[in-house]
Amino acid sequence: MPTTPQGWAIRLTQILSLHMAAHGLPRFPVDVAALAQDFSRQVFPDAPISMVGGLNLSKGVEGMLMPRPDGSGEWGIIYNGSIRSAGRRNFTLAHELGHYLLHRQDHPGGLQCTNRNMADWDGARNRIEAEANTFASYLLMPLDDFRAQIKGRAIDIDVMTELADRYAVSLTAATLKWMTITDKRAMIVVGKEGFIDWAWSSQPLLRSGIFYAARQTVIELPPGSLAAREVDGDTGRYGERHEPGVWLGNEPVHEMTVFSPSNEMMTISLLIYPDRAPFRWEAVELEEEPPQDTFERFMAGKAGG
Amino acid sequence: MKRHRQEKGYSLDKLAELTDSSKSYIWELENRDIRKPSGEKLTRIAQALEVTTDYLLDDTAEPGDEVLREAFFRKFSKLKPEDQEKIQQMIDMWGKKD
Repeated sequence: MPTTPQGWAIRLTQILSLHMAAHGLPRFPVDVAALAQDFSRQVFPDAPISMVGGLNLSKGVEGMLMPRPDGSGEWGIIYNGSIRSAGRRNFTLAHELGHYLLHRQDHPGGLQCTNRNMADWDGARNRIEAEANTFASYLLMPLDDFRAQIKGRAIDIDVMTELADRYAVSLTAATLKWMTITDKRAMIVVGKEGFIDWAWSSQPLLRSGIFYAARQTVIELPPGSLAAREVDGDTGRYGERHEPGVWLGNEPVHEMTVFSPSNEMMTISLLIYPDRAPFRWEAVELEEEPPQDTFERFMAGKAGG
Repeated sequence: MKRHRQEKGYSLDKLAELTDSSKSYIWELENRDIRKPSGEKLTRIAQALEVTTDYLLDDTAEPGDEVLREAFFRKFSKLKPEDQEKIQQMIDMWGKKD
């Protein structure tokens, strides 16, 4: 049996690919509710997932994995059916299935997940939540297919929306997936009521020291950003090329933003930085501001600049 | 806290102004669970929102990360009563099945 989130996702991906092809069914999106019940029945007949159900629960509760109280050894998944986004529901189901495969032995009493846990992609903060998210990401968006979809295309919000539809995941989940595999210098910034709720830099951008530590410090969205301005939806999606200084770093940044007015003024911004970080000597010639080293830039970012 | 602020029609700016706080501080209190406000601050916010300080403190006690390491049924009580009831009904139906 696999022991890692990726290992489990790959195993299920192989089974799904064979099964869907054999029955002439579309491979995507993954029907997680059916998969969870069929797979667990076959592989763990003593501990199957015998119930997947939606309830209209309060905001903040995403889903839960629980043992059947009669001691039969069966498991159930309840998800918050009042969440309108099919993508978020699907991700929640996959997240709970991840807990079932990876964590049920260590947590015989079950697991209850809030939206805060599920935004947690930071392994250090909460390992098991990160593992469940990784599993969900790989199950719903297998790497081979994801790479094939984006090959040779310039990434923008429309491409990400198309992928979110293909896999029935949220725009955020699709964008984060891209963030983990891209060689571009890019960042996703999720804003809430004018502040940065959380942000995530791709590895290449992280290497040039550009990231927001928004979970540690309260940082306002830059006033010049599309996210902070009340631009119309088309302007946001098409995006805008900012001069250096609007977002972190002494570089121009292309920002594309989606506004989600139904969701307490949430914004999702995709920032694309130039492929190559400026060298210091270039910065001296090109910028009016004196060059800063990475550490200073990092500190400026932390302070909210 | 956010719900009461919105019911009163206050923006982040407005509540910050009423309680002599910064906007970012109000946002942090609403969206993060790490900072603990001082007694004086808490009183001013409670006054502005016309609720008691006890209520404010209790209302912020939503499930934290520790929930994850606890057995589901022990932490069941942390969920709002209306959620508990719905979940209990579903569990009851599940229990009766086959």
